[in-house]
Formats: sequence, structure tokens, C-alpha cells
Amino acid sequence: MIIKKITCEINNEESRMLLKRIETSEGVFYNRIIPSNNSICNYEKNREKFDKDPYQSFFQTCHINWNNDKKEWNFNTLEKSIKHSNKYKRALFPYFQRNQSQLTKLTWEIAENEFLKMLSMNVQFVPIHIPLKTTKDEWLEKKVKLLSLLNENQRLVPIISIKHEIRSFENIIEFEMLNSQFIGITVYSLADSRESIKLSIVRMLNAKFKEGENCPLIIYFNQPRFLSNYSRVNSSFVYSCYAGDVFSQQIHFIDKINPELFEKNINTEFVFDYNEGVFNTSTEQEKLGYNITQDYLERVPVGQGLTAFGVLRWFDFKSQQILLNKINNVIIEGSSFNNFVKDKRGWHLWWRNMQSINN
Amino acid sequence: MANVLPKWIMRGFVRLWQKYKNNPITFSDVMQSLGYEDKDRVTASVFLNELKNAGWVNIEISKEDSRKRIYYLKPIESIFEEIMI
Repeated sequence: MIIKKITCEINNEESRMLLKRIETSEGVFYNRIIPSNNSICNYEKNREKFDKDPYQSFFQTCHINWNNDKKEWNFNTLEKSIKHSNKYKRALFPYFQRNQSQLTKLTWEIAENEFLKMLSMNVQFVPIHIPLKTTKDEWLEKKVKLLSLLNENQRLVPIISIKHEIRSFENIIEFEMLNSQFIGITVYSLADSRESIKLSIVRMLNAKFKEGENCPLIIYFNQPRFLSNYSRVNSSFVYSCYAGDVFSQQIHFIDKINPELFEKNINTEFVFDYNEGVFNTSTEQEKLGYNITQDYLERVPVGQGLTAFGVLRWFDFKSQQILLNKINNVIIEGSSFNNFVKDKRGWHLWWRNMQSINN
Repeated sequence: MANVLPKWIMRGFVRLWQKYKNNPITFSDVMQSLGYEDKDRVTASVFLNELKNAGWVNIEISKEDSRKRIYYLKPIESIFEEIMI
């Protein structure tokens, strides 16, 4: 897929959110996208065997896993993802998923080697992870060199961490907002108030775009599914409030998962509750008078390529995307954003919290 | 006058009404009936505040402890008469 142009279609003053128009070789789309990721890609492949529809998204991300035994990145998943995204004509955004220790140790030598590896795999949207202490001037110097290595169909996707030093973070983001089609930001769980400050900078810069102007797509990588400290509100909504356009949540790679997690009871599994805008368990849902977990399990009979956990994850993605589309509709219709978010407990509490920080 | 409630507040109101009607309710009753845990105290406060602002609840100060509030849900008929659409 070729992304031709991204423009600001509506700048909503009440929410300070933008509706971005994404013109591609496959049609026109709008922002606030939950892409197919490593897990969804696997589910889609399993469902193909039963002639079931894929997840409806024109974006796909692939989080590349570090193999601790071999001390190298595992590119097997990326190779499969490239084939899969080509099949569904999707834009594929690879991402090197690092823990905080790896992030601290990231140097330009490592980052450039990863970049060259992506070039050798003929990736279209080529990520470059910016090391933590890079200043804007250093970045600009590197960027010129990196851009010269791309072919005409390839696009550079600079990825900066929320842990980046604040002044350089602001300077780099401010520059890239006006000069790049894509900006990747690695985030965590908003446990550190400095993260909120940096995200507010992103929000403020993004809100400056006027209708009709070219603007970048902001891709948040690595966020948890929900924020435990904030009523388990879904992170795709939280990062929407911070100018996010695409939300690629952290992947829990099988080799790094505690085996006990596999033994969890389905009733204790957190599922996205679209009524409340939070993740909760079936027990908690029943206290509210419904059982979404059970409803999901009944809607897709287990056996059609998905396990019970797979069914829940599949609907987590779909139902969150439906609600994000509703945010776009609220912006298009010009109805009250405040009233819209107030209907969902998690969103209401989060929005109230954001308003109190920003006012 | 009363205002329309956000959906999640409405769901909570209905649950409380089914259990208490317009009998006195404390903050702890709300926490317990809506399944809130200690970490959800802010949620319960926001919930009661929204009910108060929308005019769906009457509030009295507890005679035993002036720091505490006693809440009385308004009957739905009287709310419908007051509601502003």
C-alpha cells in the first residue's frame, strides 16, 4: 500500500483532536486506528482456514522480538508479517520491542544496523529508533544520511521514546511534526508524570494543524492494553487524547510469558467492556447487569480458528475500533465530545483527569 | 430542575434504585452495591457528584457524624417532572 497524503480534515477545538484524512493507493481512511498486530495476524491466519473474514484494518504492525538465548532479534515473525500484509494490501510498520534496559543501551551504531537490516528486508515503512540522548541537531544530521539510503517507495518512520530527555524530545517532535509523514512514539503505562508532560507537548503541537494542512500520523507503540492506575481505561482512548492516530500495543511474546498465565480462568480474564470504556472481568460485568465475556464467547464458536482467549482478544480489538470510529463520527458531526465521553465510566474519569491537569 | 444522566451513571442509579428505592444510602452502600473496591473511591465520588449535579439525589448531613452524607435517590416520577431535555 502506498500512503499518498495525510491532511488535517477537522480540528476539533473542544477535544483538541484532529480528524486526519489518509489518502492511500487503496482508498481514503481516517485516523484513530488499532492495527492488526502480531497476535491478530496469527488469529487471521487461523481463521483463513475456516474462510472467516480478516480483521478490518489497512494498517498492520509487527513487533520484533529479542531472542535472549541467541542475543539477536528474531526476524521470522517479520518475514511472515510482510507476506500477510502484502496479501491484504496493508501498510506494515515494523517495531523493535525493547525493554527499558535495552532502550538505555541503544546507540546509533545499533539503531543504524537495525535500519540497514530493515532495508535489506525491503520493508516499505522503515523504522529508525532514536537513541535516548540524541539532540535535535544530531538527529537531523543522521536523518539526512538515512533518507539518502531509502528507495523512492520507502518512507522513514522515526521512533522516539517517551523516556527521551524532555528538551530534545520536544525539539525533535516539533521538527518532525512539520517534516515527517510518520512519527512513532514508544510509551509505557503513564506511571511517570514526566511521560504525561511529554505527551501533552505532542498533543499541543498536533492541535496546531489547521484544516487542509499536511500533518503526520502519530503511531504509539508498546502501550499496555489498559492503564491499571486509571480504572483500567483502555489505552487506545487514553493515547487518542494525546494526539495518537495508530495504537500498537505491547506484545507479550510467548517465550517471555509466565506459564501460570496460561492457566488463568476465563472469568478472571480482562475484556474490553464497551459500555464502561474499561477492561473488566465477567464477574465485574455481571455486577453491572451484563456479561460481555460470555457474549463474545457465544458469538464466535471456539474452534473456528480461535481459542477462547483468542476470541476475547479478537473482540477487544474490534470493539475498541468501533468506539474509536464513533469518536471520529462525533468530530465529523460536530456534536459534544464532552457528552460523548461522559457516557463511559473509564473515559469519563480519564477525560475529567486530563481536564484537571490541563486547566 | 434535573438533567439527563450519562449512561454509566444511569446504570448505577438503576441498580441503587432497585435495591434502596428512596431509603437512605451512605457512601459505603454505594461502593458495595456498585461493586467498587477501595481503589475506586474516586469513581464513587464522581458518580455521586454527577447524580447531585444532575438533580437526581437529595443529600443530608448525617446526624451522628457531620463529616458523612446521607443520600436519598429521587423517585423517577419526580425526576421526569423536573427533567430538562
